[in-house]
Amino acid sequence: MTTHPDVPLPDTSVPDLPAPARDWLTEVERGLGDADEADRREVVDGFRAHLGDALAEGREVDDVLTSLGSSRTVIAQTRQELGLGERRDPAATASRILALATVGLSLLTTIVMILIAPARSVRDGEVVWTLLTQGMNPWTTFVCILPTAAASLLVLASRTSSAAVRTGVTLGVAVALSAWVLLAMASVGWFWMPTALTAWLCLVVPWRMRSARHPSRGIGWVFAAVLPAVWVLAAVATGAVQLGGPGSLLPLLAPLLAALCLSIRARLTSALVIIAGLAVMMIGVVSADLLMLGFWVVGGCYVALGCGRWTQAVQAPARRPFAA
Amino acid sequence: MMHSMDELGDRIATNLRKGVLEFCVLALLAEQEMYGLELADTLVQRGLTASEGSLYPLLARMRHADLVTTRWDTPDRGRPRRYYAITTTGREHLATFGPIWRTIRAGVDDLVEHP
Repeated sequence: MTTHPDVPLPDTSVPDLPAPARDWLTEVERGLGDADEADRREVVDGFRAHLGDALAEGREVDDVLTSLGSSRTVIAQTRQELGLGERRDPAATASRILALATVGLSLLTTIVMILIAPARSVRDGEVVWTLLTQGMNPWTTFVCILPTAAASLLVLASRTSSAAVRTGVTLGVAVALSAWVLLAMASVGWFWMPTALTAWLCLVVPWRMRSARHPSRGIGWVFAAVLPAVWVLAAVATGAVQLGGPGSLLPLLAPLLAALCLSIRARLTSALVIIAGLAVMMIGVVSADLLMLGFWVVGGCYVALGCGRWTQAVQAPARRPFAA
Repeated sequence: MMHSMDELGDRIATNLRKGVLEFCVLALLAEQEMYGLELADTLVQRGLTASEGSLYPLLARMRHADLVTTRWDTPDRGRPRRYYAITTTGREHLATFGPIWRTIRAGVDDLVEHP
């Protein structure tokens, strides 16, 4: 017989448990996700050893799990014992933040479209500036409010406890906003592309946070952020675009800088991307030329990416409640 | 009515056990070191806990407070087991608890049996 000092055994030393026991352990581990890793492992290892010993004695898995209590009860007891308090579901928080971001972006787009966005036309040889919506059918102007109304449903859905309702409504709104972008692309539809992207993130990010065993390492965010730089490089390589001076390097460097910021799971770097994205959108509005749409869409997409990454950074940090 | 009396009884027992479970664990470990399931079974048999799930977070906290210590026993045949043992600090806590418990028990007995 050999004995070891007070160190945890690796998981491989414990034989495989039946599926109900594994599911129970996974739920408990997930419910303690914001606890210090060593504390969480110590408690979960205790449960795992208990289950293994009891099953080795020939007890039924259902009986053992019943005697331990439901995963929900055990999580609550453990959290109380560890001094962690009630846990906020980070995925639910992400859902609420992204729902609000979608509404905010849509509202901003609506205001800009109706009240600010200028249109340039030439009449009798003179340049005339009017509002973009001025030349449109009044009904079209009214329709610009609809995406914001649809996005508002995301906020209501994010507050419901039913996962099926939440997912269904979010999917419906994301599809509806995407359809709006495509159907109205000849007029103002493209301006809602960042809004539609944020709505899709409202669906994907919470799902990813719930299903993944480990926090996002940010590869997807980096890939998305760096895409415009790849596009510029491709355009330069094919001769479609020529880089003139130092200023023309901005479309190359800015996406790389944004990708670097999004590779870090931190609120500050995500906020920087959001602010930079908003600045690009506003430059588009102020410039009031044909590049307005490009600035608006590119800047808005970075706002969406920054919001998505920001929600992953607001998860509560692990704590060591036993530490003095 | 009977059902609600059972529930009330369970609630009273749960609340009372909560406060003393830690010292019951120390008292059992003062006799001999035990592994988790062995400890849980003993506590359940003695009617000192109804929820085995509450034992492991309690043991984790007690280990952090240096009341118990643990070691892994890996036999050549059979399952590796984590054994819990009482520490010197744990024995001091148990020694402090004894007279307090006897005073409380006597006071409660006196009130409940001779109101």
